[in-house]
Amino acid sequence: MTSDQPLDANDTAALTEPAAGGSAPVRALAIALWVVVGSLLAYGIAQTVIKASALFA
Amino acid sequence: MRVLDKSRTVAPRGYNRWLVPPAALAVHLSIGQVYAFSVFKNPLLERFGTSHTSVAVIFSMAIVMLGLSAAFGGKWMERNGPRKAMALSAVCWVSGFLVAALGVQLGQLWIVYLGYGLIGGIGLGIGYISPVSTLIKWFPDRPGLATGLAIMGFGGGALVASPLTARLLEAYAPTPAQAIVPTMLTLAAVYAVLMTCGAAMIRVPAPGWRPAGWTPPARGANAMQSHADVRVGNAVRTPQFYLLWIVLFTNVTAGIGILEQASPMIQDFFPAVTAATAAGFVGLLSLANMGGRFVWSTTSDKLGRKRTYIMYLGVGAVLYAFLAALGASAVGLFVALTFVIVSFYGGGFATIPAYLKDLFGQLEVGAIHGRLLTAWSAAGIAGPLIVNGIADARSAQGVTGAALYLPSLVTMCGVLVVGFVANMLVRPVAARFHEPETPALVVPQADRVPVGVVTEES
Repeated sequence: MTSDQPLDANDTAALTEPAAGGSAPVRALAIALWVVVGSLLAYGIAQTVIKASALFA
Repeated sequence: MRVLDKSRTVAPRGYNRWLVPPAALAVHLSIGQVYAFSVFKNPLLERFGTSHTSVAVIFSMAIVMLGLSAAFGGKWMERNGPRKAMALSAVCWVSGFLVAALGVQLGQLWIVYLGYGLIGGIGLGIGYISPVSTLIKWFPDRPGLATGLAIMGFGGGALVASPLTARLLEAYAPTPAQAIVPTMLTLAAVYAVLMTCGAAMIRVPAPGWRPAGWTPPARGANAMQSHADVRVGNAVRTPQFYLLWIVLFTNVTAGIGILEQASPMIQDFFPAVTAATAAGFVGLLSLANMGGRFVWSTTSDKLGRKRTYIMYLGVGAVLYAFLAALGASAVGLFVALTFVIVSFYGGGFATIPAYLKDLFGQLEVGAIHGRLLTAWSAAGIAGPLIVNGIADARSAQGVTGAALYLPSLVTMCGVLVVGFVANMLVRPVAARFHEPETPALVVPQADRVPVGVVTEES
């Protein structure tokens, strides 16, 4: 929902109740996703640093 | 499929905005695989016994479709919300891998074009713009940070996919050519899970939501920042849109000039550099590309978007001139210059949505960004054509070593100067293009939560 459109019934409901599921599971899933994407990024960076180290070998 | 509706993605009161970036990163990390496509190149050449050009078409098609789908799908994305867009992106991207795997299995290259190039390319475009647009709405106080976070993921996607794909190709069969199909199926499964999680976790702020304690800067504090919104239909009628198109086109073209030829270039500049060392150089540039996306884009929140592009294009042109004049004098200097140039290339990608938000507001920034990405597609064709064309012509004349690249470097310097001039011409958008102002729906102070604080509701 962006600020360009008037609120409709669905949007109003969405503002007064959790958007999808309970808030605690949503937070837990979001934090878990942070861990996953952070780990993936760390893996990619570590692999690339190892590759790049050949430049200075 | 109401769960995909835009209304179902509106965050409840007190939702912590720092829970949104991993959803954006999940999608960009997945579609960023496209920059690791070269890992499939040799196995595909062996499998199909065809020319380099025939295989390169797969990647080119994907990038062209990225630009086209972002351009034409942006408006749809704004209307339907990021979750539906991310879900569509996931379906296309994963289907692209599945269809491509079928093409490899059947030995039909055209099916690979259809899968990875066409269907996957549509997933790329829609998946690229939707998280960016969403994060901008969550971080109106720091749009450069927001776009840098998301687009850094795209750069990071290649860093993840490249070693992962190489390992899978080694693990599944005695030769990489025999392992293409299971590798593609595995990647499809991984990306299906990751993108689905991203789509499920994405939230948009409620109308009128603002970070706690933040008010838009006063008029005049930053002349470039608009306090009104411009719809995509009007945005493409402004000179600012086309000036930024030139800015993005020149920045990407110049960056590709280095990235496209990184490995042979360092070996031609310095004959003592081995292929393994050159691979290390390519890795270093990948880090510069990804790091530049986050660091420079975040810096632009302090520096201002126009000044940041003055740096990318102006300093970039000077660095290219240094590279042409002094690059062959020392490996360290060559590496340092190219590192900064490529970091500017990444930064240019990541900062452009924030620049668009400054000029056109956040109402349809995703759609406008989508239209602007056609510059990327065009640069993806122009950059390699310029570099390879000049290098081939020089090589045919018997020129070798660093001299092979001098005309390319000077040309890129000129390209950046054109972009620099275009950026200098950017002025605030005329008021006649603005949408009529409506009373803002501001969340009451009591309902706001401090930025970055996890609340009970989050």
